[in-house]
Amino acid sequence: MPRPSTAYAAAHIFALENKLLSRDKVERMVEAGSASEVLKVLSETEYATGVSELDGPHDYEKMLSGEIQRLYEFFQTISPDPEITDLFFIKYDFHNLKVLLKARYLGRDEDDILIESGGTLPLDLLKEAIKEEDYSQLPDYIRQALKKIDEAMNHRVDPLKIAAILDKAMYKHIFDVCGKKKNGFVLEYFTMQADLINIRTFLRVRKIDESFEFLKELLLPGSELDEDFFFEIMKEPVEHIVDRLVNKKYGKVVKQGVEAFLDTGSLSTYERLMDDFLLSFVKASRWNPLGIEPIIGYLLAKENEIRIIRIIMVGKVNNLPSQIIRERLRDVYV
Amino acid sequence: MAVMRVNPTRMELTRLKKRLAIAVRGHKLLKDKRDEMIRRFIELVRKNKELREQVEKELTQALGDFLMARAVMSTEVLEEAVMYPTRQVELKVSKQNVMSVDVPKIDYEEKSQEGLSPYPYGFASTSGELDGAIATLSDILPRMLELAEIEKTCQMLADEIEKTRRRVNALEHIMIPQMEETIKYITMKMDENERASRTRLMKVKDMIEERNIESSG
Repeated sequence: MPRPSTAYAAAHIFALENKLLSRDKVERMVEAGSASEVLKVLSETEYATGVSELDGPHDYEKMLSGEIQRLYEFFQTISPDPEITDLFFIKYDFHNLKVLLKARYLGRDEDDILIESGGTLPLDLLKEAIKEEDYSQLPDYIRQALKKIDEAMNHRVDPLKIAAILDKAMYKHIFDVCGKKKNGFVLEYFTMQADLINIRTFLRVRKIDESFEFLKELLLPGSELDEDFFFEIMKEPVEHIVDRLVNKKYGKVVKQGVEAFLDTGSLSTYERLMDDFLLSFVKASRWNPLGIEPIIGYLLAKENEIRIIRIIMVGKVNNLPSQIIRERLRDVYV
Repeated sequence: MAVMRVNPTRMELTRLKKRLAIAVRGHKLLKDKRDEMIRRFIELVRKNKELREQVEKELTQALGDFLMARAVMSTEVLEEAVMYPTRQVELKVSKQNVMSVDVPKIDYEEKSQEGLSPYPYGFASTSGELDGAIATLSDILPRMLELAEIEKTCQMLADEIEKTRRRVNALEHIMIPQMEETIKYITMKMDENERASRTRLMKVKDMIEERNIESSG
């Protein structure tokens, strides 16, 4: 089957956007009295099939992972440029790699926390490669990371390092592909994402009082804020980061997020603002029908939607007041 | 009060008297033990309550954090983040003697590996709310162990107090009165016997004297 054109994909997706959860649906879900009432609201939406297959409200994770799988399969057929859209799915590969590696070092099976589908590589391929320690079938960027991990773990197993090396490798690969594809939009998106994640990592490292050396291990490549920036800022009070970044597009996110962090010690506001900001960035450029923007936009909107449903479901299953749920709720796309 | 079914003999009487003396002494000792145990118990219970409230408060907080981390991360990612622990704790359970009750004593030793971070996950794909939960939980562990120790001690002490109290009561209200009663009964019985035999003797003496007078007269 030939690759669909960008225009076709964009048109198809504009049609699908109407089926995304709207603000008032989300509002109704937040106000619902119980988890099963949330499911009732969901069964009026695209999730109806998923909901009908559930055994009970506690099973919602199954529905969400099914949705991710469907999303990946859909993007496989519709995406005009799978190399770019795959970048948004490789996190599932890397998740599986982390699980498989840790399971190997622990000497036990942890298959139930693997993400069966959604990743860009077949799960069996990853399993086989990690089990046999034969990485020749894997793509370069993964093979290199795995070799590095094997070397680093020779001496002693450090799960943080496994995760850190894989995270770095993932972003390096993302930026390599972005560079190759010369797609400014995706590049900007990931750069800002890496920036924001690095800032969050910085805040977390500050909170647990670790050194710059520790932070350095965790910083993602490709960010505009390089190691020197963080080296400097590590020596200063946390709030100084706000002034430094005031001219960035996400200056406001950092300002409000850091203020809330200093106030309450919690990063939930920062994380919400971060997700909202990235989504609104994509939202702003979604009206370009000949670019990849609307396609990425839909993809992120879908991920965001899954996140929203998860927050609401966790809240409702555990009987949290609507207020607490709303505090953490992300904005919607449409 | 029922009297024990014993032979009212002198031997039985000495035996009973000895037993009574022991019972009285035992009763006093047990009573002292009970009082002391209750004193310790109340101290422990007070401490236990305090600790429990504290631990419960912090646990609620940590679980709340966890819940929120759980809300913003998918189950798989959360499980992956915590699947490989970097910290190990060695627990040693030994015995400690409190008022002749063997209560558990938990010693713990953390085997931290030099240079390993307590956070066993990468920071890029996990939520910041997880850090707080992990930190609180790791702070709480020593106190949870202490709480376990104290709570078990309280339970065991309470059991022992209950037993001792029953023994004290049994001694005080049944054994001792019963023995006293029996001793009284035996003494009376023996006095009675003595009187009976004396009367008999006097009677016999009278009869002999009567016969002597008759024969001589």
